[in-house]
Amino acid sequence: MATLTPTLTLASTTIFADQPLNMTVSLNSTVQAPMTDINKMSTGDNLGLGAGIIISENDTNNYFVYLKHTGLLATDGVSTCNASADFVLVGNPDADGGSKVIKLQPGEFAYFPTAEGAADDAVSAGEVGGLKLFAGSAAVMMEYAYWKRS
Amino acid sequence: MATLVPSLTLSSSNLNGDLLNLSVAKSLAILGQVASFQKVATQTGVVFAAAANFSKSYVYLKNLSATEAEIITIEKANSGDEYMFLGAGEFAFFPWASLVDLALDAAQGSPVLEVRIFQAAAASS
Repeated sequence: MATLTPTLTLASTTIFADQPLNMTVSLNSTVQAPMTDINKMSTGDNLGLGAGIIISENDTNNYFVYLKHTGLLATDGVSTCNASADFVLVGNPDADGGSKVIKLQPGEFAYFPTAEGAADDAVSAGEVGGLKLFAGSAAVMMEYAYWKRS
Repeated sequence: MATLVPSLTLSSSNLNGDLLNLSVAKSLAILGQVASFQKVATQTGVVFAAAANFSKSYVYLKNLSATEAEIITIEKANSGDEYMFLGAGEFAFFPWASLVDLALDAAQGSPVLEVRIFQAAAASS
């Protein structure tokens, strides 16, 4: 087992007229395998689970997940993608429309603990479970990592 | 228009035989609603952010409970698809597509969820 320490700060001097926003949260989380280091992939890459799928549909573990849209096209990994059209939706592998909670534009990131999938979840069942990246238009490069909650 | 700057650091000294020390930040354009509130979770799912009331937004959630068993589930509706699983003291930050509602319920007890929603400017949505 290992310790993962996420720290999030939200800051703004312009959201409220008379009060700045400046808050920080942090928590030590105990994690174990399966886990990854920071990875980079195209939204169209197949890691063995299907194109764009990071976590399998019927994986019953809870994970802490980090995702970042790099803003770079997958065609060459260096060209800048379209700021509006080349977003990435994050949902479950069976493309259930109701699972697409997260929408990442270039440069945006997310950190969240997932709910587990169901071991008997068929791809056609339309249930949430697993994690898949859906490109809005062109395939783009994403950073991701996940760690199983102990 | 206002600007929100979220920054995230992920660190560990005992993962994968290598130090993890990742820091990311992004300046986000905010235009429209900013909602900051706390919601008590019960064993019945209740919508706390209706997709119809927001366009794309940045969402911060934190389970304020210190009791290990008081887990909060973020889901589509009561007994609906489950998205996230916030243990005591755990938090999440994500750009919400605002395609589906966000609801919460608790595994047990009455834990409190801290919610902050910042509606994105049109160019970011």
